[in-house]
Amino acid sequence: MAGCVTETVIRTEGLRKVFRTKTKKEGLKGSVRALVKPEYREIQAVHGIDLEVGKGELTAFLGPNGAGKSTTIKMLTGILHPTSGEMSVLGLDPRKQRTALSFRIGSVFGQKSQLWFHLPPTDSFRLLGAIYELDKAVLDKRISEVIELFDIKDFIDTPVRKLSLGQRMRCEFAASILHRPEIIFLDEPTIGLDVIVKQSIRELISRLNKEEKTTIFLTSHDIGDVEQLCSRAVIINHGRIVTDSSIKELKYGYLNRKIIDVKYGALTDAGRLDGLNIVKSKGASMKIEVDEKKESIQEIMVRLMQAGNILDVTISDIPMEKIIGDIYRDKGLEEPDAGIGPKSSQQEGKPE
Amino acid sequence: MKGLHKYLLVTRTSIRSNLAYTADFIAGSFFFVLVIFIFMQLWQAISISDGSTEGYTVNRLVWYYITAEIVVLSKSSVFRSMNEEIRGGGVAYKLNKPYSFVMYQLSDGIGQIIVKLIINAPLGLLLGYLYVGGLEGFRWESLPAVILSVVLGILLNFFMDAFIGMTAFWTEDNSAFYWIAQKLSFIFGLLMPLEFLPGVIKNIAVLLPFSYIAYAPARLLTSFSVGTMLDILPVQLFYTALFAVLSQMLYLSGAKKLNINGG
Repeated sequence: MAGCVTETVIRTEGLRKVFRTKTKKEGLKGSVRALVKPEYREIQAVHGIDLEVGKGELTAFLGPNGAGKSTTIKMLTGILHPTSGEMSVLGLDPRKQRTALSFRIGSVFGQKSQLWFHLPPTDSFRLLGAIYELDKAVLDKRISEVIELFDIKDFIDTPVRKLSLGQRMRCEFAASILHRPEIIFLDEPTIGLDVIVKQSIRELISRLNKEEKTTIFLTSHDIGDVEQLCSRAVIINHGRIVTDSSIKELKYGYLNRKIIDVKYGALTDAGRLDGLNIVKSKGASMKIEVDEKKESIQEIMVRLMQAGNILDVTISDIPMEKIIGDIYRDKGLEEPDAGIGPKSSQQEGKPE
Repeated sequence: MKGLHKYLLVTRTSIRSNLAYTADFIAGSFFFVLVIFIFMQLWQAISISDGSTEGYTVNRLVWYYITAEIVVLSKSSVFRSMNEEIRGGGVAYKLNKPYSFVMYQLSDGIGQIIVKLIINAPLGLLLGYLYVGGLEGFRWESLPAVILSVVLGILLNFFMDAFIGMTAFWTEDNSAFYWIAQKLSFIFGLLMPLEFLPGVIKNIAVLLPFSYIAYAPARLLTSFSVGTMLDILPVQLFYTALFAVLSQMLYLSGAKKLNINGG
């Protein structure tokens, strides 16, 4: 585990979550059979996670879709019951002490909302203040603080349904910290947001960690979240921890690569592309992997422009799946088969 | 005190939120007026031959139907909201807050019910008065018992819907349960007084909880006597308490089983 830990606030040992999902053979016969004699298969969503998070840390819990990130976060907040293993959050057992724990933690779940849709955020803040049993004077002061912290004064009295996604997310964050949680769990807080709003949310998270001294446990499949925010990254895949390291180590070893997708109208000087790591090429389109430790993106872009008439170009982070594959390879491990079913919406065998 | 304050504030917030649905109210009021009018015509046609049916005059039938409709149309959307929250994962925000999930739903539901009652009750009373005049033989001393019965009917309706809604923790599609319960509530009380049903069916219906949603308060208003009150209120109270307890038990069991979707 990386980072200088002062006091452990989250601890898990062998945390497991198994979902049971109904299986059905194809056709009418299969449907009738499933009705009369349902068959189930077990899916290991979280496969024995050992983890310690220190007070004040800003930890990223990363992995591709279906890796078990959200399942883990929901177990830590007492929403889901683990199949086996031990866990402790702020010294409490989320299974048995969920209410006591809820006074001390906060959460933001991606695109879900805790604000009343037809009312201004301030009404939801008042209600949450009552739910967390804050005195009126304390709540008034706290609302003023979060309004300033998240710069939401201009739309605090506008019904939530009329807010932009970015404005709503600011209010969601504000709502989550009214009761001064010691830990805040952020489950994919930037999912579905555009680049500008993402950046703004990242700034908020950073401010929350620095100014409110809140421990932040963040799940994401967006490498940008990690690079800009966190000091530590735990990567999971198929419910298992693949690596747990400092961002510095991760940046140097795995996050130092970018992917450039370029499409040419006319490639006039292909010689300019010699020596580039072209990982895929089709007609006048190609995908180039760049190692920023060895090459400058700027220089590569100059060469690409000199090679011909560019119609379109995008620069993106290397995909999470590729990073995980490289980590397995570097550790001399074989990547396990996916033990997780397709994403769905509800209960009975719906991992993450 | 803080414990109670949070639920009162949920109700207040719910009232404010529901007042945003102005168009829904207007549409709902039209529907209310329409069904009352149709049934008033229907019962008048049925009763016209001898002036009364099973002891119900047109006047009493109209007031029976108006009371039953006020109770049924003032129900909350707890079944739909629970279904959506449990299936869509929104329940995650509700489960990690320091309150009772069932009490929260009830407080929210009461907010919706109050707003609907504010519209439906005066409208229903006005319609009845304009059409058939005041209720024949109405006794003011019956009012507290009738109001209590209306409240219990609404609460029973709420807890039955909540109970069925919570089956979403287990089932992929629980709308069939809801549909059946709605139809039984309609047949056993809303469509007609139980006295109109054949003997055996009536005897069974009196034992079922569905009759204590609409039939009980409507019967109590239109045929009030201390005996009727003692027949109805304890059973209504029993079923309301039973479904409240069952809802809480189902929630506790369902929350343990919940395998909610993530991000």
